Amino acid sequence: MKAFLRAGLLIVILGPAVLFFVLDPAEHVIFPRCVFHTLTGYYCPGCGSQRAVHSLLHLNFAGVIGNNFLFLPAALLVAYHYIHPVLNRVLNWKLPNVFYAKNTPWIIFGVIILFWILRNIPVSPFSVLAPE
Amino acid sequence: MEMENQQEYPQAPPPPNYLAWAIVTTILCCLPFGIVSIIYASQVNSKWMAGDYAGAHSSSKNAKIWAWVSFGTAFLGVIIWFILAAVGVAVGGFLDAFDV
Repeated sequence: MKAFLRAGLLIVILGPAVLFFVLDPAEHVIFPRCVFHTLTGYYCPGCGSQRAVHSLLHLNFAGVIGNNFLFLPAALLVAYHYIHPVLNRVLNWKLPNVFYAKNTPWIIFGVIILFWILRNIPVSPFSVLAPE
Repeated sequence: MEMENQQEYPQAPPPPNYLAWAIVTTILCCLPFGIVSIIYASQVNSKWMAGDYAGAHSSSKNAKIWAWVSFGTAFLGVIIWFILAAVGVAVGGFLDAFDV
């Protein structure tokens, strides 16, 4: 059962990865548009992430940052959350469990709300935060 | 996954706050319901530290629910998108209708 689940998970991750590598979400209609953006015309904090994934798979870091400024920090933070217990165990490090620190969720909340507002201001320099 | 069946001792680890999932659904995915999940995540941490263990557990549950709501809505959006795409291709007017 576990092996079956792992195989399924691999397909669920690899399938879209191949799709996101081969096709550019900016140019192909098979990639879903953000529901929030479609309904309101405003960008949500996740807008540009599909294009960011495409850019990341092509190692185009300027593209990742240009499409969603918070994509890399968010991905690194989540990666840290799942990797740090392993590092602590294997290498005997003492990396802190950041997500359970008292103020972490509030800081993340604040950053995301600020990002959400700023990227919708269509004036330079804020407009650089809108997806490319 | 973090432990769910622990006793409520102050020195025990807090209940899962699902912050990683909230971030994934908010930033790496496409819908803002994850924001609600982040708020509950912060309540898990603060209530636990204030000694409100039952409250922390209930916030944990809500954080989980809203992370799933966020993911579920996005997933539903994808499904609806593909159905629209399939119907659109069938009638041949899809590209014009969505101005692509």
